[in-house]
Formats: sequence, C-alpha cells, structure tokens
Amino acid sequence: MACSPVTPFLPQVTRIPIQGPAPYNTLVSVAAVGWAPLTVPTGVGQLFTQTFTFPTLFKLAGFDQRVPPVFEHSTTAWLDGVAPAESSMFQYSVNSILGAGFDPLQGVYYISGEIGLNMPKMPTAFCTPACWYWISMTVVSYVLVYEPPPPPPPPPGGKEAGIRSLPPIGVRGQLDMPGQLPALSGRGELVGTTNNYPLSVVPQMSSTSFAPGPALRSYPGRYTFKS
Amino acid sequence: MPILDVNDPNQVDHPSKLEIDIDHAGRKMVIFSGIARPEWEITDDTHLYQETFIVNLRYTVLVVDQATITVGLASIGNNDTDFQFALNTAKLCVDDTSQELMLSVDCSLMGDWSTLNRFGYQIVATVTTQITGITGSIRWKKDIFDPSALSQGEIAQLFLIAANREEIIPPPPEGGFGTVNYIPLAYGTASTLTHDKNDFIVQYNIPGAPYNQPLVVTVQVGPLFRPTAGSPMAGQIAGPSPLILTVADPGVSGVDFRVGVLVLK
Repeated sequence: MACSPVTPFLPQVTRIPIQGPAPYNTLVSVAAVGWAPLTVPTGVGQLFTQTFTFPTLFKLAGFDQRVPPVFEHSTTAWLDGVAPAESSMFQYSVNSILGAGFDPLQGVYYISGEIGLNMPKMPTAFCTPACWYWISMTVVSYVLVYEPPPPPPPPPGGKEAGIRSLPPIGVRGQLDMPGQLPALSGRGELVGTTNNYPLSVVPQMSSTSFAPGPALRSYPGRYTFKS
Repeated sequence: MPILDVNDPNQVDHPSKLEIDIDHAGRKMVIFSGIARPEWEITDDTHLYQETFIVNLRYTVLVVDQATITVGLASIGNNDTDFQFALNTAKLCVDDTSQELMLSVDCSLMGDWSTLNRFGYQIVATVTTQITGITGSIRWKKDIFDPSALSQGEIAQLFLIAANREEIIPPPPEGGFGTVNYIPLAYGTASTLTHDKNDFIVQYNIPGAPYNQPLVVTVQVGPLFRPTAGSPMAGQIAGPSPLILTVADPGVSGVDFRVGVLVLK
C-alpha cells in the first residue's frame, strides 16, 4: 500500500477558525502522550498518587508576558499502557484533570492532573528496595483562544522567497519552543513530584525528542490556570 | 443502567464543555470532556459481566447533527486474577422527556476482584439547539450590603443560583418532619449590578435547564455577600415555582428574589 507521509511545517496542533463566542477566534485541538516511570519504594501504604504537569505542543500565538491569556478548555485523559514489575494486585488510574493553563514565560499550554497507583500487597525480593512501574496516558484538549492572524506571506520573488521555499522540516517548528518538546513523536513527559518521592523523569526516547530545558520545570507561577 | 451526573463531582470528575458558534444561530459545535466515575467492582473471574453506564451531560438539544465520541479506560484494578476490562461501544442519545444529551457506554468487566473505576470521554458534536433560559433579578436593601466596590467577577460569585428538581422526603412513619431535597440540574450566573432608590439589583440567567419537568429555582447567598448585620437569606418574590420549560416555550422570565437578613437578638 502506498502512503505519502504528511509532514507539516507547524507543530501538530490543529487550529480551527471560529466565529465565536467573543472574544475567541480560534479553537485549538491538541493531543499528547505522556509516559511516567514510577519508582515506588516498597512497604509504603497502598495508595500512591501524584500530580503531573503535562506540557503540550500548543504555544499561544501573540503571547505577551504582560497579559494573562483568556481561554476556555475542555480536556480529558485516559490510560494508554501500564506495566507492573511483578504479578500482583494492581490499580492504575488517571484520577483527574485538575486544570490547564499557559506558562508565564513562553505561553506554552499545559495540562495538570493526578495519577494514582495501588501498590502490590506482597513485594518480593525482586522489588527490593523499590518497585518499578510505568503509566502511559493520552491527554486530549480543546482550547478556545484569541490569536492574531498570521502575517501575510512575502511577495513572490521577494527577499524572503528563498527561505520560504525550503522543504518543511518538522523539527524547525519546535526550535523556538521552551523545553524543546519532542514534537514529532507526539510525546510529552510528566513533570512533578510524588507525595513523598521525586518522580523519575525520563524523556521519551525517539530520534526527535529532546530533554526539556530547565525553564520548563521551574515555572514560578501559572497564568490563568483553570480547572 | 446507572446514570452518572456531570453536576456531581463524585460521579464525573472535572467535566468541561465548550460551545462554539458555527454557521447560524441555533447551530453549535459543542465539546464535552471529563472523567466519569462508574466505580464498578465485581468479584468473579469466571464470567464476563456487562453493564451500560449513562453520563448525563446536562445539555439540552433539539437535534444532534454530527458527533464523534472517544472514550478510554482511566482507572482499572485487579487482585492478581484473570481479568478483562473493556469499553465496548459508546453512543449518544437524547432523553425523550428532558431533551438532555446523554453519553451511553457499554462496558465489560471480569476478575476477582476487578474494578473499572473511571473512564475518560470526549465528545465533539454539532447540534441544533435553541436559547433556553430562566431569568430574573435578585435585590436587597441598600443598607444591608453595598457591593459597589466589587469587581464583575466578584458580583458573579455573590450567589449560587440553580434550577433544581425537587425531591420530597416524607416524614418517617414513627413521626417527625419530612424534608425537601433540591437536586441542581442547571446553574445560573449573576451579571449586571444596578440600583434604584432603595435597592441594589443583579440580573441572573440560568441557561440550558432541562425541558418538560418541574423546576424550582433556588438562590443561595455566598460568602462574598457581607451584610452589615445578621445572616442573609434569599426568598422568591415573583414568578412561577415550580416552572416548566418546553420546546415550544423555552424561556421563563421574572423569577425574582429578594435577600433579607435574619438578626437574632
């Protein structure tokens, strides 16, 4: 079967022009897959929960650090895959989508939630001193925003025509984004801490993934976080 | 079939909805998302159990033109036995009485024990609807509380306004009092603040209340309403109670309230 790959220049975020409601002019559809390796010490209670912050590939056009974005969102998540370290009782959960917002530095859209894990009742020697689990999830979100229209293309044969005619390279669309999110694989990562233990953060491995920059992990605050 | 209500956080976690204007008034694109909480548990790993869960999205429509539904397992558990978890089919339906949009999900479960606690859903639909609404005013004497310094957002949070189904609990056979429960079906928002010679007045609107059933509007005074003395309470002073919205008559206005204060001496 012949199949031509689609290689858009822009990140894989779908922007749909809309008529309203005011003040919005764009409906954005964004989805991402996150993967959380969890190193859980044995012998600690049954229920283990942690919140996560999930950066997406959506960066608000026209973002101004002085102006908190006005937006509405509709977001959900579900499990893609789970793995226990041994045969035992398990419970894996995406408990909640706590909200969404834009980081105050670059205007990247992020989603926050809570995942949960119920530990095995009888850890074995294999599990000493810690058990290893992972949860993979899909997060999908629609966002209503206002974005200024993009600048018009340069005139044919103009100064920038040569640049514009370069073949699309997917990574180019990511280079000015904070954290260098692994765009082409569609994979993000979870950042956050457990209730007692630091969450091991391992970037999703793919040929186009990048480790997140320090700024992404150290946002001092969140603009217009909405539950 | 168990029904999960988006108005109850113990049944649906963080439900959210976007309404987008498309080609003409009355037609909208609507997006619903959330994590439903069926909390279904069984203790049998020899038989596959089936159950259908309904999510009441609390959104009235006349017709659903197009829809795409996506669901996924969000919380599952098993106690080291044979298991199966499945969301088999998902479809939309419209309640024949209330015209509310419902998500119906057929699930399967096996295990000893197994739990299917939660599933995520997202629906993108274009629907034909009509503007429904219950509108009215809430007023109070100027010397009770002056909200002039409040922002528009704070004005909107002064009151919890809802259209409810009234549930009457009869008194117990051995004697005592019966009670009335109000189950909120749609919430309203307060908007413009005005005043006349004696009163401050805010207008409110409750959009999207269900059709063809008796509704009682209630107004609870929130903590931002700080009277100079006493405990504030709101009571209805005009308009029908209960009221009924129909497709032919989808709006009721003039459901007015007044806030007074109860002072104990």
